[in-house]
Amino acid sequence: MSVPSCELLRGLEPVISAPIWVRVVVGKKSLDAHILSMYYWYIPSMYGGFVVGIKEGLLCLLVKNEGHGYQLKQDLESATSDTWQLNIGQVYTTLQRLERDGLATSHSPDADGRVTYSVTDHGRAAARDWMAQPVDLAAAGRDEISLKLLMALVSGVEHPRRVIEVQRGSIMGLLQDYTALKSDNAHDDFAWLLYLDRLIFSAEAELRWLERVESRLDDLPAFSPTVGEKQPAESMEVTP
Amino acid sequence: MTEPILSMRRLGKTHGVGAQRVDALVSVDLDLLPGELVAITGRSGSGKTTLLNMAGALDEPTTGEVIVDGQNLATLSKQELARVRRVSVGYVFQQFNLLPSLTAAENISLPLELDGMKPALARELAEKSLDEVELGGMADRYPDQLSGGEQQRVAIARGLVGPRSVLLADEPTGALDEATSESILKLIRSRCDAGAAALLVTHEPAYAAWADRVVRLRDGRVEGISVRSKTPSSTADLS
Amino acid sequence: MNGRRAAFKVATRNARRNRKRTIFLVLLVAVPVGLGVVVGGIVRASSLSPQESAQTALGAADVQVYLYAAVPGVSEWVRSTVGDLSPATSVTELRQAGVRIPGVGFAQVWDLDGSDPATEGLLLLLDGDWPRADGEVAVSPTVAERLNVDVGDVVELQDLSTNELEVVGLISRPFSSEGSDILIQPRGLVSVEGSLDVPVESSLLLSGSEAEEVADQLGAAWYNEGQQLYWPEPAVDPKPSELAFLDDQMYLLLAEAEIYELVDLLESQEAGSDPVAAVQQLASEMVYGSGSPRSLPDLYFNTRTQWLAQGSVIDDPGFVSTGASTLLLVEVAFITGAAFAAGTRRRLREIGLMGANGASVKHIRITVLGEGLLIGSVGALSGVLVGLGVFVLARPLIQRYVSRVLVGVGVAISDVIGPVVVALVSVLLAVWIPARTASKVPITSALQGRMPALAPRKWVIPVGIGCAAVGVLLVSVSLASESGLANVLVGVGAVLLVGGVALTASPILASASRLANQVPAAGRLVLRDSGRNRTRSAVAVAAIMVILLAPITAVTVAATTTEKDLVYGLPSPGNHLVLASSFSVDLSDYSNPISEQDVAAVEAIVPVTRTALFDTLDLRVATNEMIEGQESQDGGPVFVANFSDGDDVAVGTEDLLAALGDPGVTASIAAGEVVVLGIESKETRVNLNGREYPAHEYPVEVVKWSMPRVLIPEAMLGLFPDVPTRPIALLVLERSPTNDEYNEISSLGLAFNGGRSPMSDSTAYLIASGVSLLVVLIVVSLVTAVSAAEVDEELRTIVAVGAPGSFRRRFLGLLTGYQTLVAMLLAVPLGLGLVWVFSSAQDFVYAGPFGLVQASAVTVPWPQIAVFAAVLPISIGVLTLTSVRSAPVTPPRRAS
Ligand SMILES: Nc1ncnc2c1ncn2[C@@H]1O[C@H](COP(=O)(O)OP(=O)(O)O)[C@@H](O)[C@H]1O
Ligand SMILES: [Mg+2]
Repeated sequence: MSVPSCELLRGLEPVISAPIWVRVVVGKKSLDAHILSMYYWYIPSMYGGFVVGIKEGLLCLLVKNEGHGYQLKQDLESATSDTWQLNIGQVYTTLQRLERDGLATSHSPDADGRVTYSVTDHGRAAARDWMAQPVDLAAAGRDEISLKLLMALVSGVEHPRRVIEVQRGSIMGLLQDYTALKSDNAHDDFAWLLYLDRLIFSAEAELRWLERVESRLDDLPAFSPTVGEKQPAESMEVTP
Repeated sequence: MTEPILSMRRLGKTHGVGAQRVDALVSVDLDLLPGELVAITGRSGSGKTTLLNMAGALDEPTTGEVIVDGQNLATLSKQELARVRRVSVGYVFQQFNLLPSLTAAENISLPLELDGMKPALARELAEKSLDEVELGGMADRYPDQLSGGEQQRVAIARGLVGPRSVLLADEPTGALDEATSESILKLIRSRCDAGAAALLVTHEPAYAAWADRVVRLRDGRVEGISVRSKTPSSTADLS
Repeated sequence: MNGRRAAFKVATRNARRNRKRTIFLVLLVAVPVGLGVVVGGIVRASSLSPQESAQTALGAADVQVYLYAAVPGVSEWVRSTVGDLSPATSVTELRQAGVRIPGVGFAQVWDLDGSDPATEGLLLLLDGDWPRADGEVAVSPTVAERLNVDVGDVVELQDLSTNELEVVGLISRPFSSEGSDILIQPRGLVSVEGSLDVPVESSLLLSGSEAEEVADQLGAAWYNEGQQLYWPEPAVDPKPSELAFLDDQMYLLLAEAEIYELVDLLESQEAGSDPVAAVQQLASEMVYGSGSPRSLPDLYFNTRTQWLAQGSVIDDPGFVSTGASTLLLVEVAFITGAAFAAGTRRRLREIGLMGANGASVKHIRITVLGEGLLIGSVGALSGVLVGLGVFVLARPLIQRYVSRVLVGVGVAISDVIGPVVVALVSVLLAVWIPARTASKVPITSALQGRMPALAPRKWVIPVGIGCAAVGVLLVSVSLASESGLANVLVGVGAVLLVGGVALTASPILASASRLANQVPAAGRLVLRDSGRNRTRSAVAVAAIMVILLAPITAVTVAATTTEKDLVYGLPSPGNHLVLASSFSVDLSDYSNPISEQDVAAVEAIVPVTRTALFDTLDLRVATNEMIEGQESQDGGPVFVANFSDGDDVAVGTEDLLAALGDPGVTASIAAGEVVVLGIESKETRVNLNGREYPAHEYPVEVVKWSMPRVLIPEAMLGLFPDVPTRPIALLVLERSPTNDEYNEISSLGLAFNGGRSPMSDSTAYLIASGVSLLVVLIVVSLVTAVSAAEVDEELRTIVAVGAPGSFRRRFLGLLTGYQTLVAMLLAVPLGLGLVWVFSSAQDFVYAGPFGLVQASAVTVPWPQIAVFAAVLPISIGVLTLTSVRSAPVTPPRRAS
């Protein structure tokens, strides 16, 4: 049985302006896909969420049950259907920070030397707070593709329509890949699908946005399809 | 390399004459391999339906040629074209896919019976087809007793019944909600994975994404093609 | 083959799914077919088939040997000869006599052995038993009713028996429910033969397989020996040589004195230039001329084969039922055509879908044609069943109507096949065009539900005009000829003419739709819709046109007939009664003059306002003057007709003038003028017994043919001293007599005229117009229903963009009005053309005292036609407007 997993290779930084690489592993197969940096107003928060997420995730697990580091790592991984591959050191560090911030307390080590943590009242409240906060998606403004399009418009280095075509082609390819992954997912793994849908909807939104940009372009006299240079269709031909 | 089951060469279509002249298609090349699902997207009026009509032997191209199952449609008589539609290609439209006076099974067996197959045998194949689209128990329902999604399933079953192996679907999900649309696409995908070939016209990127290849039309020309990674493991740096 | 079956399956499913439309069309087909079957059945019932005719004469026997002018011994000779020739052939004797019986009137009296198999079918036993013994009798229901007896009762029929007779059964002739028949016991007539003052006719019925051969040999034997035995010896033997030219049989019948008279005549001067002819004439007067013609006994043979070889009166009643249905089915074809044209357009997407799934042009045509075939067959079949049902249910009525007892079903296969075939053919023809149209629509258009707007075909107008011209030619040529085929050709020609004109409806609608830009929205939609959907609308127009032909030809024929009748005077008033003479006791004398008692007897029956008993003078009013260059109906010369049949002139007595009540007439008579009761007011001249007198003609309605047309003042009576006079009476009634009163007057034994406004031709035609108007309404509503079904889809959109729901009514009102108008524009010239073509073949004149009219002349009542043409489309439109429903505001859910 194939266990899909998702490994974040890069971009764990809270603010990222470079492409994010995602390694999607499905059973023995894996796919390197890049998520373009324009996702940074979505994805960084998500990734930030990952960084924050370990903390909040562990806290939520502690609210349910007390436990020691390895046990908590296992619980978290299974709760996310193994889409999170956690580093055990990261877990211990995070648990120590929780204790430092007064959100959890540690108990004396047991016979095997394992330290068990449990949640404090303060920690319980913090977990509830986190759940109540919306995820911040509002950091729009300066992504790469927008920059590229605006540059194409002012500099004339490339026709903006061409930029859009290339961008659209690559996102469409991604979308196809995600959809393929989704349809290959034989056993309705909830977390995996949740994540894929997230990617798919994002890509779709991106395509919609490109479509809109294109029709706005049509309205600009200088770039309407009749005036602007048109790429011969043949040059785009890709034969399977 | 496998032979394409449907292939279009330098296909062009002009509607009307004089001031009403519209070049709906301009020199389009496209191949469809067995087992392949190709999506055609593009804005409204970009020539998607025109292309599909050409592929389905419903309309004659102004220039270029269409080859279905090794037969050049231009060389066929009207009778033979009708036969191509009976045995080679199956159509699914957005709506009104089924003859209201025939049951689901009868709708599916219609092309077979029109081709001269014995009703009993045609019925058997139709029931098999219905099983394949997970409508096993609904053979004797009339279209008005089926939901929109079920009707489309029946249409897909009919499109691929018996010897038919090319499905031409023109916005098959246009009148359906998202979840049902998804299931219809899943069905088409799975039929293709099972060996059929399909040309799917849609303007929804999310639905087009189910295809192996997505052909984007613009003003009757191919503007771009994007291909699904053959295997998800292959690393493709598309940036 | 399977492909066609699949296409046909779709057709049957379509028929089943559109149940309403299917039922509508099935009924449309069934009604004329049923009617055809009933009409055919009635015609068949009223005419005897050869088998039935044979049965009335032969019963179950094979040969009837009629003993003509039989003398004693002939019958026995025949029996013994037959016995010698073929012992297996049985001989049955049958006697008949027409006897006048008190209380019954004329009755046919039979004597035969009802239980003999040979007589089976000659008479039918309705009740009781056959008379077998002395004193037993069976009578027909009519006789039983008149004598007020029933089976078991006893009657006295003095002529037939001195004893009382017991009624043992009720009988009837096989194909007649009426008639007075009396059957007495076998050989019952033999005993009274001498006492009856009418001859008893004897026949011998031969039956058996050899009967017909025996009849041949019997004939030969009669010729060779029988005649010698039973024919008389010549009165003078040998025949005088001068009379050698005289027919031998006639010679045998001459008495001795007569023979010498003939010889004398031959030799005398009286014989004239051709003595032989004179002698022959005298001889035949002697033999046949007297009260009781002489004849030689003879045998006549009627064999079953002969009976069967001769056709019945109407060769094949199937022909009649076919004709009756054809007429209706022409109409049905048009309506069906419209319904299918509409249906096809509505089902365009389905047709496209079939095409996309590989249905070929042929398959699609089969689905449409198949549906037509199915509807046609179901309609025809149910029509036949309904027709048979009606026929069986109405059997007593029909039996009375055709005066015959119906045996078996009464409807033959041939009565049924004709209407059924015509129904199928006409429905298939009706469906053919929509089927063709459907299969020609490109699949891509069909899938979008788009019917491409096709330009009208160039050939339609020339072909339509050509058809019409050929039709005119066929009708006029066939009317002139007299062969049996001509009738058929006239029909074919008429259908061609109508069809040709109907063809032009389509281009007319197409060009009218170009005017659409000039008119407001609703009208524009109507013009465009009719122009675009020409298959449907042209057929609808044709359907209405065919019906409109009836009133248009009717008013034209009525006007023409009225015009022609005018040459004989104004129409008879219904409340005038002219008593011409009274019967004497002797029925054969009609010439007793009218008396005051006769007048009083009539006055006792019906309320009379004025009576005039006046004298008529037997004057010749006009010479039989020949009109040059004119031919009458039978090809002879045309004469100026007399004013009336006999008594042309009357004296204008005070009574008469008061009864006529015309002040002009009264004044003229008072002024001593001769008056003509004619058709207009003018000065004229009248020729009386060869002398001309100035006269004044007034338009006065009098009883045609019976009232004198010329009145003279009493003062002029002296001019005609020796002229015989005859009294007649004019009674002016308060009202026309009722039927009962009329019958009562009839029973007075008077020769009278008038008292009835026998429906004049023009009234009849006006009634016909009324009826056809009703049919127009029905047809229009059918056609509207058909169109409405189709345009509703478009109307929904129109309502959705803000038109009020009543827009549908306005639209349909305008649509039917417009279609009726176009139909009218075609029907007026076509109707007049039809009348003209049919009357053009008549090249004689109607000549009467008041003028001459060519029979071929057509009087066109332009005012009536103009009003009709203007009012009908408007009223049809308004009727539709008020009767159809508004469009629903919320569109109904459409079944996909
Ligand atoms: N029957 C026709 N007559 C004239 N023009 C047509 C016809 N069918 C399609 N067109 C034109 O051809 C172009 C392509 O149409 P179509 O293939 O239906 O586009 P799509 O399906 O992508 O929306 C459009 O500009 C349309 O107006
Ligand atoms: Mg389209």
